[in-house]
This record gives sequence, C-alpha cells and structure tokens, in this order.
Amino acid sequence: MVEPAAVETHYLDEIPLREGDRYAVRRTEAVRQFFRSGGFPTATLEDWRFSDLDGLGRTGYRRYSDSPALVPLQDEELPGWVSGFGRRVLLSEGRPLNAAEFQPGNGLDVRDLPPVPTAEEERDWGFVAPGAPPEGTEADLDAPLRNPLEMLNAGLFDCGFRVRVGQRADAGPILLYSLRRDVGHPAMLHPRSVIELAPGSRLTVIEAHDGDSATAGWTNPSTFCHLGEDAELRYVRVELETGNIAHTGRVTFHLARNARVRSTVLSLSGGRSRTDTTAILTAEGAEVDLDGLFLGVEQAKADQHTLAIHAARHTTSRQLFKNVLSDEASAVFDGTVVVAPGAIGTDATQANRNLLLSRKAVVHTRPRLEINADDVKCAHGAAIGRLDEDALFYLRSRGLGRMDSHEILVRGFAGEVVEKVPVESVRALAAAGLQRVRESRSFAA
Amino acid sequence: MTPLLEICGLHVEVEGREILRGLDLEIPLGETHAVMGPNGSGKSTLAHVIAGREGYEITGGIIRYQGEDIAEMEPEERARKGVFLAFQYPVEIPGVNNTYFLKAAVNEIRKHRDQPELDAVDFLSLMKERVKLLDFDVDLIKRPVNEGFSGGEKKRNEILQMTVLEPTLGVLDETDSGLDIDALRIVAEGVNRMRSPERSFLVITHYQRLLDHIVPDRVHVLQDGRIVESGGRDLAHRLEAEGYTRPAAVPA
Ligand SMILES: Nc1ncnc2c1ncn2[C@@H]1O[C@H](COP(=O)(O)OP(=O)(O)O)[C@@H](O)[C@H]1O
Ligand SMILES: [Mg+2]
Repeated sequence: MVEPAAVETHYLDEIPLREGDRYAVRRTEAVRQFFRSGGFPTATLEDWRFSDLDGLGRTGYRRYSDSPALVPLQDEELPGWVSGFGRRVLLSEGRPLNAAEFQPGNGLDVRDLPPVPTAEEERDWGFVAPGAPPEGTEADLDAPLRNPLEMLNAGLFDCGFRVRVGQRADAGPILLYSLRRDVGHPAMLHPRSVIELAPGSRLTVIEAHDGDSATAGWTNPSTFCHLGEDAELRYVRVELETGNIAHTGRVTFHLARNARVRSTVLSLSGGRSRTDTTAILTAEGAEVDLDGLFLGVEQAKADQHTLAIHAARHTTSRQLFKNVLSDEASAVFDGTVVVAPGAIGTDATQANRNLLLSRKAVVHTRPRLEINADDVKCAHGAAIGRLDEDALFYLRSRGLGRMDSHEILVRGFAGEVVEKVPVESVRALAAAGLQRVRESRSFAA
Repeated sequence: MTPLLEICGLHVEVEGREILRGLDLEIPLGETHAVMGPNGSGKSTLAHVIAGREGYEITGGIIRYQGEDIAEMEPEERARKGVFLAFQYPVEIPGVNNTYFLKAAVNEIRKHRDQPELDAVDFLSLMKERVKLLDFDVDLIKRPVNEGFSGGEKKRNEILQMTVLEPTLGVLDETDSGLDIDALRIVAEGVNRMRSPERSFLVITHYQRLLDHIVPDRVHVLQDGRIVESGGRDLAHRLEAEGYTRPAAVPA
C-alpha cells in the first residue's frame, strides 16, 4: 500500500526514463497533470460513478521491468489461437518479443513503439490534440486526451506497437497480442499503440489483452487509430484478462473524409474492466460502427463508455452494446453521441441491450445525446430483460433440453455482435465465453 | 388397446383461474380427431397442457400418453417421445437460425430413438425435400426462427417442422387461421401425407373449413373447459350451420 500523500511521488518515480531522453519532460508533465486534475478517479465523479478505481492508486503498482529474473514468454506458452494466427506481434509483460523481425508486406508495417517519439510523430501518436475542427463546425476534439487515465498512460507508457498501412494497400488481419503473468508484486502495464491507415487503405486489427494473476495487476492501454480519406479499419478488441487484474483501456478512432471504422469490443475477462471507445468523425462521409459484447460470470464487471463526436456534416455512427450477465456480474454502459454545431445531416444510433440471467446481476445504462445542430437523425434506446419464457417453451417443445434451449437463446442474443467479427479464431473466443456462461452457477437456475 | 392419448376428468388452472373443468378425451393410435369450440373455451390451454407448458396447474384428473402419466413430464421429454405442437402463435426467436434450430431438434429426437444423428448434408437434403412439398419459401429457412415471417409463413413453418420431426401425436392449434385457401390446401396435404396407422392428430380449429381438407375420424366440441359433445365428421358441418350451442344461461 502507498500512503495517500505519497501516491504522486510513487508514480513519478515509475516514469520510465532513459538517458538523454528529451521526452522525459513531457512524461513528467503528463503525470503531474494527472494528479493536478484529481488523480485516480473516484466514484464521486459523474463519469466514473460505477468504475470504482479508488484502490488503483494506493495499490502501489510497479513496472514489470522491475521484476527480477522475468523469463520472457516462450512460444509454447502461447494459447493456440495466438500461435495459429498468421501475422502477429507480441508483448510479454510489456516486453516486445517479435515485432523487430516483422517482415513488412502488402503495404503493412508493424514496429514496437519506441520510448521516445520524434517531434513529427508526437501528433500522430495522439499525444497532442489532432487539430482544429473542420470549418463551419465547432467540436471538442480533445475530449479523449482529457481522460485522466490517458494522461497517466502518456506519462508512463512503456510498450506498444506502431502499425502503418500504405496508400491503397489492403492489409491484415494482424494480431497485436499482450500477455501478462503474475510476478509476485503488484505490476502495471501502460501499452500505447498507434494505428495509421493511409488514404484508401484497408486493415483488420485484433488487439488482445490476456493474462492471469493472483497478485493485483493493472493494465492501462491507449490505442489511437488515424484513418486517412476513404480508409477502412476493422478493429476487434479482445479483453481476456482474468484473476486479480484491473483493466482500464481506451481506443480512439480519428476519421477523415469517407473513412470507415467497424469496431467490436469483446469483454471476456473475468475481472474488472473499463473501456472507453471514442470516434471522432472529422469530415463528411465518415462512418463508424461501434459494437460491444460483455459475457459476465461470477463477479466480473465491465464498464463500457463510448463517445461519438460528429464534428462534420453528413457523418454516421451506429452503436450496439450488449451485455449477458450471470451470477453477480455487473455492467455499465455509458454512451454519448455529440453532434457539434454545424454538423448537419448527422445520422446516429445507439442501442444498449442487456440480458440478465440472474437476480443478482446488475446493469447501469445511460445513453446520452447532445445535439447542437439541426437536421440530424438520432435514435437511442436501452433494454434490460430476461430470457423469453415463450421462446424457451417453443424450443423445448421441439425436443431441445432445458439447458440447451437457454444456451441457444443466449447465443442468439450474442450472435448479433459475434457474427460480425471477421476472424474465426476470435469468434471461437466468444464461443468459449458463452460456454463459461452456460457453466456459471446461475445459468438456467 | 390403450389409446395414444387419454385424458380423464382433467382440471387445469392458469394463474388461479380454472380453465379446463373436467375434460375427457381419448385419441386412439392412427386416428385424427378434431376439437372445435368458441374463442376462449380452452382449446389452446388443452394444447399447451398436452405439450407440457409450465404455468398450467393440473388440479385434477389424469393425462396419459402411450399409457404413461405425463402430468409431470418436461416438455422436451414429451417431444422426444413423439408429441408435437403446432403453435397457434409461433414464437419469433431473433438470432437463432431456423435450419440450425431444426437440425438440433431433429438430432435430439433421433438420439432418443437410438437413430444416428443426421449430418449437415443429410439434413439439408431432407429439408429441401420437405420444403418443396410444402411450397415453402426456401429463403425463409435460412432466416432466424419466424422472425419477420407473415402469419401464413409462420403457420407453414410449424407444419414444415412437423414433417421433419415426424411425431407420433401432432397437435395443430388453429393452424388454419391466417392461411389463404391455397396455403390451407397445401398444409392439409402435408398433414394428410403424414397420416398413418402409427400416428395420430389432434386438429384444433374454430371453423370447419380446415376439416374439409383434413377429414377427421371424430369431432369433439369444447365449451367452457369441457367436451360437451362428440360425434362423427358430420358434427363439424352441423356446428357450421347451427353455430356452437350457447352455454347454459347463468341464473341471475
Ligand atoms: N396465460 C394465461 N393467463 C391467464 N388467462 C389465460 C392464459 N391463457 C389463457 N387464459 C384464459 O383462458 C381461457 C381459455 O383460453 P384459450 O385456451 O387460449 O382459449 P381458446 O384457445 O379456445 O381460444 C381464456 O379465457 C383466456 O383468457
Ligand atoms: Mg387458442
């Protein structure tokens, strides 16, 4: 434990400094800014009401590099779906394993994120605001950078990837995989990744966070995706961490004219997680689908925050977040659509659907619209329900067993999100999550 | 020989209200019986009780299928033993593919009969054949169960499922409602093709129209939760001409 007064000093000491690092000042400033703006968010803050990160600061997490005698991951220790994945880059406790040997091809290049960005790189990496909003509109494009945990990542980041796709290249899928193991002390990871799609290019990225730990662990990744004109990104985020690991992650999409993002967040972790997904639609014709699925058993807790900023005319966003909650699992959906002044012709939908399989499961849902322009189409809604008794009887009357009938309905509910995931082995991870739901205590009880 | 279905003095309550009040009905193996009755007389309640729906409390009487008391039997057990209910209001199940669902059901029932499971290829060819016989839109079987189906398509899907699952007792609850005359004829042909000495049907309907096409061995009149009259196929015509006898006036 760290005394409240010593928390700031503790995290300043954890900044990974290298000799002659001209970026050290920026890192220190980011950490100081984090503490100036309130430090670790508490539940008294509106935006963090259900996120309960109070304990994070005082746990005194240290970087993995402090762990003595940490043996890097061996290939045999990789889960089958990872070793079988065509193109993949790996992190083991934040240590890069193979990106250095990545063979560029099909217009795709992947590198480890160096600890010190060049001056030109800073903006691309999301360390500073992406620039002024388009003419005729006003939008707050810095919102994702004001997330306190993003500030902390900007100060403490110690690993990550830089993915680039060249003009009109059609690349992917590529897997960015990070695994963490228990090293016996509370360890934290601050991965930072940047994905850049040049105009007209296409890419499928799977970003996965995996690991198990009995000792307290914390993963706090930031991912920035920049799409040029007409670029198309298929992004799938898989959260697999279990045990005593807290996950606080962010992904931000920045879209130029006619760029398109389809994003899916699969929360399959057994612990606590909060994920903030932000899409900034900066030019006409930009279009984004934000999907999410949480399969919660036991005391798992997933907190999904979304923000779609329509900063330009004629942009589209569609959000679909689903939660399946068994046992004492709990979920939060806090989704916001912002239509900036002048962003006429915006088309935005937002849906949050929750399936409660247990009386003790809890969901908080808060869909929000902030519309500051005329001539827009916005719809949102939230639903919380249990399995349909009529449907269960219908299935059973055809000879399907009670458990199977429950499972079929749950799978049908989740399928709307899972079926859109473009990689078979990733869909199989969701299927394994559904199997855990079926085996959970409250299932069909 | 014991009848396939044997119901004696059956009393059933739904949410504390008595709906069936001493119902008697016997259907021998190989016969097709019709149950007719006005709206609200308890026809669907009877169908659901036979299929084993929860929430229907049997407060008296006996219900036997193949000589066995099934009052406590789970609905899936009944289905595996050959009971099939074509629903009056088939349920829409978003996200669950029709073909997938029916294949799972067929194999569950085959497992119970010690028959080998059908693989995807065998199942699809079976489906294709049955779909054609019922003049069913083949695209519908690729969609989620009943989702966005018209009333008539839902009813046809029920009969399609029945022809694939090949039950011993088929209970048809107002399958004719929502069908135009051509669809009615196709559905009736589908049922007639299945009639055999090894299989019985209970055809529940409000109108005799369906019984012109599925000609029953016997007709029963259900009123106020009881069978009040039974007879041959002519009874249906008489009911059509004269209407259901009004229930005895309740003394003021
Ligand atoms: N789930 C239920 N809850 C309460 N009452 C019901 C329920 N189902 C049926 N009933 C009542 O039982 C009576 C018989 O209904 P039903 O069996 O559907 O009649 P039918 O099919 O002959 O039209 C009606 O009065 C109906 O309102
Ligand atoms: Mg009815």
